[in-house]
Amino acid sequence: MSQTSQNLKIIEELQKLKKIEIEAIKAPKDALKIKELSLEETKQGIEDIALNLLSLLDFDERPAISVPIRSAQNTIVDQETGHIFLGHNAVTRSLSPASVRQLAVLIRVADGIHELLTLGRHSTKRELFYTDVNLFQDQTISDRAIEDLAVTLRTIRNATNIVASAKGKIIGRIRFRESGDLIDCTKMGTGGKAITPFQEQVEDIDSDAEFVLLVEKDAAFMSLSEAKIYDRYPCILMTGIGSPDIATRMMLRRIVEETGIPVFAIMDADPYGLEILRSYTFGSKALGYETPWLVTQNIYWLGLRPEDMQNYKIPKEVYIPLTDADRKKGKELLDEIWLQNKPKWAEQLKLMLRSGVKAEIQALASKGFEYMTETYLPQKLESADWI
Amino acid sequence: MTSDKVETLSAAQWFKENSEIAGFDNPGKSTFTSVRELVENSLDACDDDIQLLQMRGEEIEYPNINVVIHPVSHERIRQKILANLDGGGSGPVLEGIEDFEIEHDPSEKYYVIEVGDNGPGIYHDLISLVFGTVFTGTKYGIKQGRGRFGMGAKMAMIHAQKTTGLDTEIWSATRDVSEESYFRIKIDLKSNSPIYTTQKIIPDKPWHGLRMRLYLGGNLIWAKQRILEYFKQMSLVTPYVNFRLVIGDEKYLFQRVTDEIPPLPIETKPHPHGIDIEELKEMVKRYPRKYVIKNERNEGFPTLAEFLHIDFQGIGEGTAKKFLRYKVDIAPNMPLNELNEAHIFKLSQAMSTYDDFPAPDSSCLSILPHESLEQAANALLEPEYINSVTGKIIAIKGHPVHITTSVAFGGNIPTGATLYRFANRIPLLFKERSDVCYKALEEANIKRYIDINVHGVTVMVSVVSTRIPYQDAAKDFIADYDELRETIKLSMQKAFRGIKTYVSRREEEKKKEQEFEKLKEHANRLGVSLAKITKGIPMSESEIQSRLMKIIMSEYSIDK
Repeated sequence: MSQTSQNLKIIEELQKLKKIEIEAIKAPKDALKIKELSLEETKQGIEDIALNLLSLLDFDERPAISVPIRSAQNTIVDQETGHIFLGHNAVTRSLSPASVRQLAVLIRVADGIHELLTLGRHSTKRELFYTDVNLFQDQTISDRAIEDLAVTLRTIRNATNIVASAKGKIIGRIRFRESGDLIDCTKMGTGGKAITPFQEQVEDIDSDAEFVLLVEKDAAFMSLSEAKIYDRYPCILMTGIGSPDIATRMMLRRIVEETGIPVFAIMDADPYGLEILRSYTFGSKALGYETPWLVTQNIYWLGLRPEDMQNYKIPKEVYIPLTDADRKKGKELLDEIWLQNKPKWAEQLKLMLRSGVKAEIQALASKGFEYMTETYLPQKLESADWI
Repeated sequence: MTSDKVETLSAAQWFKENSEIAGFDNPGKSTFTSVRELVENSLDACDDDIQLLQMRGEEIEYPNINVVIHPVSHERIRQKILANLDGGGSGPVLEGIEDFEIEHDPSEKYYVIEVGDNGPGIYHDLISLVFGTVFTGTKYGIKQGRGRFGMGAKMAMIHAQKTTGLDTEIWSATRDVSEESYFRIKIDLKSNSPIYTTQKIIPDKPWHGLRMRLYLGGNLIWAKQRILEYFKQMSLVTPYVNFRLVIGDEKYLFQRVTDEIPPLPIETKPHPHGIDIEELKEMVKRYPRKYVIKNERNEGFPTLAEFLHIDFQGIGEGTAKKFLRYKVDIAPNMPLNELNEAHIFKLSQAMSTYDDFPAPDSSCLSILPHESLEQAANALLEPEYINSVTGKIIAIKGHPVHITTSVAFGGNIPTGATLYRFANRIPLLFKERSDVCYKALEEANIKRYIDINVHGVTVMVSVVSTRIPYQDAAKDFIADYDELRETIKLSMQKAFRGIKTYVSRREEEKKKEQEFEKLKEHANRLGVSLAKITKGIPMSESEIQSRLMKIIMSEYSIDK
């Protein structure tokens, strides 16, 4: 069979996966209601927070504000779809020894964002951090406060005009306009195009790809782009480089919305790989309030799956024993509701826990540097081995 | 010692032979012991003086004890004595021995030791009697005392004589005469009588007190640190005294830190448990004499019951009769002169085993108030905190024993635990590990209360008694009686608990203060941001800040 006819056969398979209409994700009734706010609305929201705090002072009461919790304690999973949302549980930040620092950080961030919105410009998380290093001390502190503020305002982070620095990358059969410039991702060398944090500036997405190849890590992205995989198969190659940022998740969602093509994920065969897969597919706990803007349906787990280690005869030397933390994480994932929507994924996780070993994508290199691009991936695709 | 009953006994020779027990077993120890004996002698005299002045309702004088230890060559001493037979110098305060050049040679073995006080002094006629013999005492009853052997300076004199062959010089003056007595005394160890090489009265020298100068062989290299430690610890338990110490060209001052004089010890009758058969015989032998019973003066021999009532503490005539009839089985009305050896043996046996006598009276003891010791410890050790605890008063062999434990914590005290032991307000510096206080400290398990790897503590245990239960005649350490060790241990643990409470309270306060500072800092930030977001309407930055501060202040009663 010739290469082309082979490819044609795959394309037929792929057509079956294509979704004509991607419906909007609806939050369940008991989830926190989140809205995309306009610049003016966000600004007004921040002013209202400040005025509410000040009004408490008139009664000599400790200023206090309620901030929704962004963690497992406040996660709601849509029983039908498995999508992750935030509930109504909240913590109080007030003028008390225990939380005054968090209150000050939140208000300082609100102050900075208010200024940005007044000027009508954007800023990166890093820049915001530098507005008061003395107070924040660590960028993770101000980063968290930005998201806390967004959820307090019942909006998404993009409404705060704060963006993360570009993290994800894209290459392959896709063209779009970014800030007016035409970007052709087939002409991006081997490094790929950085996925811009200014997602509202991305428009006119046009693609003849039949699927998106979503890889967990940069190393796999590099070897696939070097092999020009998108020339062999009509695909778009993307990575969030580990845990994906908002822009990468948003971009992926938009590509699937526009084209309806399926997404094939290549992750490490370990609990963290599955967790990353989950955040693309069902959302993350910390950003649960943004789930409708961030999650992508139509994602399939291509590899590296625990069963592949046997099926592809990957040498035992590259297996890594599960650590205690891996087992703990794995067991936690098994108990999560979204996994019930993916019984085949759950099977893989159980297999991993049973076998007690994990492996990285790079483990495929043990069978030769070109094994992944020349053997593993073609076999996977041609045998429609996705779940 | 200005008057009163002075008994003479002869045992100078005994001392010469038992110098080890007396603390004169090597040159270093001898130097140390000489100094301490003279100092304790002076302190006792000053205390007696204070007691007398208090009794008369006169203003007391705080004791000044001046000590000079001056290394000299033997030849110099001899020359000085020969050249200046008239002696010299006077006055209560001594700044140094200006007549001698200081010899810096560390191998020097001879010293002039001079100790002066502003006590009552001794009358001219009594000096030879007091210093010429040993075992001089005024003891009819029992009394808490510093002196380890009741003979203080006399041993040092004999030691000086033994090592240099030179006389002891004494200057003395009393309040009621404006003249000074000057003596040079040697003791004839065979006849035990004083030999005066010089003895004269110098007119128009109005001061009072006693100044003794000894010329002795010794070793200051060993003794110096002990002497300094001795004065340091002495100043803790005798904080109403100024100690001035000059060693060669170094001067030390241990300043008086309190005006308060602790109640001085009172002489009391012995407790029946505290008397052995020999002592009982001695007591019986004091009769016939004049005695008072039921407010009536009598002469001759009392009955046995009357004797017990008169000569012992806590025995009423009723108790005495009951005790004699049922416990000893001797007729209470037997006249004392009819008592034979067998009676005395029976009586002694019964006395030491009868449990129904009242506990020994502790009101006769001189206890340094906590505050005085704490003042002294604050000045000397510069701790962060001191906690003092009075232990239960116990009785050991008919003598009341009183325990005070003070624990100084933190501040300038180096990490670890240091033990200071005091017996009748005299520091014990030797054989620490054999002492009951050391064993009690081990059992007290300080680490359960205080982290001594982080904090420094000085544990000061003061044992006061009419008779300190020393292990042996050298009196370097207190014997390990179970009840005593337990009492000391409990007092230590109570003191440690106090420190522990203090530390946690301090940490709580520190936390509160940190919280307050944190709230203040963030309130200022909140003021800036909130005012900026709201453009100063309805409140300005400073108004927001002051309102926030008002809320914080209402919850933190920290005075700022």
